[in-house]
Amino acid sequence: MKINLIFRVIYWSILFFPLYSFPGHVFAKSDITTGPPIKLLHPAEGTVVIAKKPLIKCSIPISFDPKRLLVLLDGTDISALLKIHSEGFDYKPIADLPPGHHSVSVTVFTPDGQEIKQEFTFSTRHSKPFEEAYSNNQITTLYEKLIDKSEEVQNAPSWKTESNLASESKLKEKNWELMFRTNVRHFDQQLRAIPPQEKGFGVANYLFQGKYSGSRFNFLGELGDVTINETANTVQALARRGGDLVFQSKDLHLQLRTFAVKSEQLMGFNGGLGIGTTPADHLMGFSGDVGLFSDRLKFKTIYARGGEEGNSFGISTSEGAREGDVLGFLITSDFFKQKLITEAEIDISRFDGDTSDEFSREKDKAYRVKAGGTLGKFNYEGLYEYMGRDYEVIGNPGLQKNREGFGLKGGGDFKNHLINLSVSRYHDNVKKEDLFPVVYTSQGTLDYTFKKYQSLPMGISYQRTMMRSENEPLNIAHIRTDTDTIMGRINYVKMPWNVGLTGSYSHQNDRTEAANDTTAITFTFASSVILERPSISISPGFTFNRSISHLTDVRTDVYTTTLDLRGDLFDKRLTYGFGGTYTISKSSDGSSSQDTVGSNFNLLYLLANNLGGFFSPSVGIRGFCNRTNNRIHDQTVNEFAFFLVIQTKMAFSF
Amino acid sequence: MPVLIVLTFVQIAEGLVTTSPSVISIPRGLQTARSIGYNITGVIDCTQANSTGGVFASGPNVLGSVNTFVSIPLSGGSGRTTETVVLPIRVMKKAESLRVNSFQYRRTFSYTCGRPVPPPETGIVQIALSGEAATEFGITRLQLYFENRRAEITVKRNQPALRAFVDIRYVGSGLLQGFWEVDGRILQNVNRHLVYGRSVTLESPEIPSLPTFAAGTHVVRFVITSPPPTLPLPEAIYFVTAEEFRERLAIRLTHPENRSEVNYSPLTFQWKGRDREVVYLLEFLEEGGEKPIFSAYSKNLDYSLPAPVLKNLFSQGKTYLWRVKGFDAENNNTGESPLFQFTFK
Repeated sequence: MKINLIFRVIYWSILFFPLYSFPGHVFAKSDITTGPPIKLLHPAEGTVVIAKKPLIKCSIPISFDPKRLLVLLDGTDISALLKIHSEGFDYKPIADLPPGHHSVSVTVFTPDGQEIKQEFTFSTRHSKPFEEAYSNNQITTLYEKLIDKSEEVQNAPSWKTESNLASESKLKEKNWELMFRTNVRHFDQQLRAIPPQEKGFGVANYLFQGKYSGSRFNFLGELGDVTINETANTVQALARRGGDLVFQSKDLHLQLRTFAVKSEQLMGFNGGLGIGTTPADHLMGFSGDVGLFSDRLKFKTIYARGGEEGNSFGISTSEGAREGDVLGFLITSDFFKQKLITEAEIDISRFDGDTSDEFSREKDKAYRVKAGGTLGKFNYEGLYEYMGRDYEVIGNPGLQKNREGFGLKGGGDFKNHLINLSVSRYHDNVKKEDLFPVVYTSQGTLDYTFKKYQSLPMGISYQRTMMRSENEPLNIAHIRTDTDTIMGRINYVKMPWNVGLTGSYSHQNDRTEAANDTTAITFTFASSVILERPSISISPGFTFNRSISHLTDVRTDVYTTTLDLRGDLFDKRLTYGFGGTYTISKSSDGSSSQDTVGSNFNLLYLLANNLGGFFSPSVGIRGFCNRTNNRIHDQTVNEFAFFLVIQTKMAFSF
Repeated sequence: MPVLIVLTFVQIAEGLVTTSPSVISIPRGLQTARSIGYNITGVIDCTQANSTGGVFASGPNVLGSVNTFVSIPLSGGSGRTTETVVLPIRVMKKAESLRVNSFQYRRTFSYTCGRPVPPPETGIVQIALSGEAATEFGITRLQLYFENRRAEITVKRNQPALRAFVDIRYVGSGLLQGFWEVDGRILQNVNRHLVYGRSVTLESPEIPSLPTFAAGTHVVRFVITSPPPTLPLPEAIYFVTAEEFRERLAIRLTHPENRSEVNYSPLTFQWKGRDREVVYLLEFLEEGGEKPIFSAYSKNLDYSLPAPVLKNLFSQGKTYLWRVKGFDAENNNTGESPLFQFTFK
């Protein structure tokens, strides 16, 4: 018995020998064995380092198999990038490490196959006052001098200068973050500047953001070129200059937002910051969101008011000064993980389409209900909506007022096939006023894509739209129009090739006595090839467009050939680009027959790359050639202009 | 005593004013502009026809007026000119309040002549008020923008796939014809049937995309040729910087094949890269996941999943996604593969 006990003691001692022979040893999850500890020499473990790419040095004081050394930095295997030596390894990150905590996990295998693993942590900051701080700036400057031009060219200046400073800066400390992005521009030329360009300095765009991200609430303040998105029937996709403030409470699942932007689209310093409260030329509002049941049920309220005064940068309209406000309520739900998502919205607007007249605002309402979801391979959606006769919103000019109807959509995504079907029926004159007809529009669309071959997707779609009027007053013509459109597409995508062919046929059949039928046919061939050696990208294309007016029996054909190419030579010392279009257009009644050529090109030689670490000047030539040949009037106009170009880019970051 | 009576006939020229079109249809509740042509014939020995203003009227009821001066020089007894008439909402509302859905636009011309002046003549356009769906096909609003929803964007040199968008608000139905133009060069012609739905969004072509090989300012327009535009065409501006865009070329994943089943053992992943790339980053994701569960750098065109990583992070019977990104010597992301899928048996 004593001998048995001795054997047991010896057995268990041998078994647990590693545990008590090397105190403080760290074991890997399996096949761990003992050995002297791996040490993190730099940064020291647990310390905070002020660096974006800190050197990481580790000592491994035992024999190890360098081919099996496994090092993970923040969960990324960096073993292939290590400088391994007999006593350990060094690593210089190739990208800036984000500020904060980092972990280094080192697993070594000894020559006899034993595994040793150890983990370390350290922290980084980009600078002493801020854990993240950077400013990246790029200046582009170009000067153009006219070398030669044809007499017909009137608006080519004899010289021109343009400069752009693109800047992005960020400061972050704990929960606070400040970010600033801008493009500042300078422009000057010998001729008068054509709006919206202006001579001198201007801010093409800017955005200043201040954020606080906490465990219980977030805060965001923005000033500059902001985008406001609220609901489908109120303010949507409105990109303007101004400001907005957003407060989020994570505990309460609450978000509050307020905004004030200039109604007109701005470029440059015109309009200042964009913030203001004058309703004639600003749009302002506030919204509140609250979520229940882990945001599976959400409520939203929005109120916005403002005015718009007509045309602005990028916008052209026949409407004059108008003003209004809107109050909206939206409920959304998603209790079944996107299998059934519901949405219901009701909105009330007061809108004055012409503030210069004696008529006051018109009040009206809009509401919609939508349900849809995804069930495995299938998706579906049903929508009913009503937009009142006078329902309009300043921040949403695409809204269709005086309309009521429904739409149904469904589709399936199978292994090799994708099918989508939609039908809808709407009518206008929602109040059924007897002064005007009621026009019913019914539409059905079927779309099919064959996707078995990833590099050869192809598809076909068919759409039919029918318009019918009823209750027409005596002096209003009856409407009975059918439009059929069929479209096919096929693409071949396999690098370096991308080739596409599309064709469409569309016929609008006016079934009234007017018989104003029209047909439109389009064939397009578009391709591009991108090669590395030589470095060149070529994109030829061809389009045939035919339009037929059956009433006048006139057919108009337009043939358009395009060629774009760009590339570089001599290790990017010489870069070039060319874009050209050749168009032939003719009508069957002989009223027009014309061909036009439009082309421009650019050739640049890089004088020095990163001179002084930041300066890269280039010199070259730019030009355009255009030709218009009008065969009916037997007139040919040739235009060309060539410019000497000196440009440079300067990059500096800190 | 007999009296000799001499009758003298003096020819007084009578003019004729016709309008083109003579009937127009406009949508209620929407300020609209229309181009009206005036053609005057048959006024002999007159040099000019002038009108101080026009009037919107329904019978004897005046609904509104236009206080613009129109002058038509006459030659050989005839002349023509056009006027863009803005039909304000107040005129339509007054017509509706009178329970009428049509009214007239009248402009009276008086003549300047060397001889006895003929009486003034009035050109009349009949205007029918209708809903937006039933009215003549016309464009009421154009908005041009880039992917940032603004009419201005700054991009890098040789940045591919730059596209512009145009939101077109219209009334009625018909064939829209126009073309995309950049710096005066046509990129693509557009023929498209529009059925009343109030607005449509068109995109500039993908090939050729907006050119970015020349630094500086470039101007994009969508030019509408039919229906005849009554609005000035808006412009969008993009500025190309001298900084080159680092194009990301496709990296082709070769092993394991997409959607394959593989043994649960250290697996070697392979791909075909590009000359520019010096370092590759593999990323592994779970199905439906957005962030990688594991990633690894490699200088070669393959990577073998280490056994410890396999055991700790990957499970048998589960499906994973993987992709490869390539970086050049300046650590710019120059290549990317699509996401491939594999399942450990």
